[in-house]
Amino acid sequence: MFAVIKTGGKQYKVVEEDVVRIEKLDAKTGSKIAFENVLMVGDSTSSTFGTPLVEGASVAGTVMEQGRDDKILVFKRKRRQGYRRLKGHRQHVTLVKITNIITNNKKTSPSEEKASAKDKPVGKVAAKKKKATTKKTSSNKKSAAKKPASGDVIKE
Amino acid sequence: MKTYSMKPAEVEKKWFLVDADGLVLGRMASIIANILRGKHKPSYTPHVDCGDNVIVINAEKVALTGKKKSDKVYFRHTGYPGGIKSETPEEIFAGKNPGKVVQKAVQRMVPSGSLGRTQLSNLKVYAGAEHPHDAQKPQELNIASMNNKNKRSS
Amino acid sequence: MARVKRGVTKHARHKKVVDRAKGARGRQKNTFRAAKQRVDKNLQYAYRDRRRKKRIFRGLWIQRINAASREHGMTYSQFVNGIKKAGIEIDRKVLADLAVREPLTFKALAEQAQAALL
Repeated sequence: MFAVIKTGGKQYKVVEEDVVRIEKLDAKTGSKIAFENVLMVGDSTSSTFGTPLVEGASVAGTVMEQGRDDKILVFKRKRRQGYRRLKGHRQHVTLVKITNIITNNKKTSPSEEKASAKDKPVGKVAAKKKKATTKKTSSNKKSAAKKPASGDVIKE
Repeated sequence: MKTYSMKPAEVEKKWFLVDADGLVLGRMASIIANILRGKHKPSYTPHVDCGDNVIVINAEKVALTGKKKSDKVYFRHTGYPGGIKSETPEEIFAGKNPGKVVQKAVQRMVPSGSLGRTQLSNLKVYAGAEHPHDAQKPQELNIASMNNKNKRSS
Repeated sequence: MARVKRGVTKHARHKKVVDRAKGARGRQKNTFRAAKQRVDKNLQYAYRDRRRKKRIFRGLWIQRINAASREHGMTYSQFVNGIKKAGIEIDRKVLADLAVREPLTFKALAEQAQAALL
């Protein structure tokens, strides 16, 4: 099952066990976060599209690393004017491991969703209650054992 | 998530058959060029030859609107001074390789470069109604039905 | 002030530049004077192309969405119009990914777009 979340001004299609590199979030390493802006949930047989957000759906993840991206050299030069500037830049990123995709179990058809499009999802409290029983130990084991994909996001 | 990029090993090429009898040259060539490039596939990747193969039969019966059959000129230059040569479609159809008209038309619609040349090599043009590719079981591509301007009965 | 010979530090500074010119042609990958110009150009192109990359990918996504929506009887412009009217805010990057990897989901999206256009 996959979901499309919106964070950091960009959208990502995620499945469980994915490690996503997103813009910095204010969260401690190892803490759990929930993405409430879910634009779509689906799997190989069916899907639910939000108009624009899917009601009651959220995606849970744990913060694996808070660090900085690879260095980019920003170099500007104007020819024949003696103007050159060199600057290094490392963007702050957060590595999040997706643990769970949560939908409220009623499957609404797209027409029903249009009617209820205005309601904001209240799901954060409900989602946390569900998360209490979900694979907390397995996610901790995995975040310890699994190294981040690029290997150069370091803990500050 | 990374945007999908097709690997050359993953490419699956199909075979299409086009009967050029009565079809307008440019409109047919445009559709064929799109198929050779692979732009009809959602997995289109610009640096990989992901298009399909196209067989064109009855290439000498392709239609040209207006007076182009006698007035359109194909120029080429030999490289030597005064070496400009020209021919008209009428002369080409009567000559050795009537399929050159269709071949040239598609060649000018496919991008130039080594990838374009590879894509163009997947086009097989035959002047007559027979083609030797029965083993590939080509699928008929009905260009006349796509737009009523594609076929002219002259 | 003690006398300082500049060889070691000069070599280190130059090596940094020449290393960044790996893969260049001729003396531009070996000598400092030629490599410096090449590296400057490379960095300028990188600055410009970081902005171009966003445009290029968006164009590629649009081409892929166009091909996929034509398989369902719509052009790209009709499809996007229908999606916007249906209130779906999924962006082109994800739509193109769905078109390649989840064709059934894309078909459902195309049906929604058709319905919204009526």
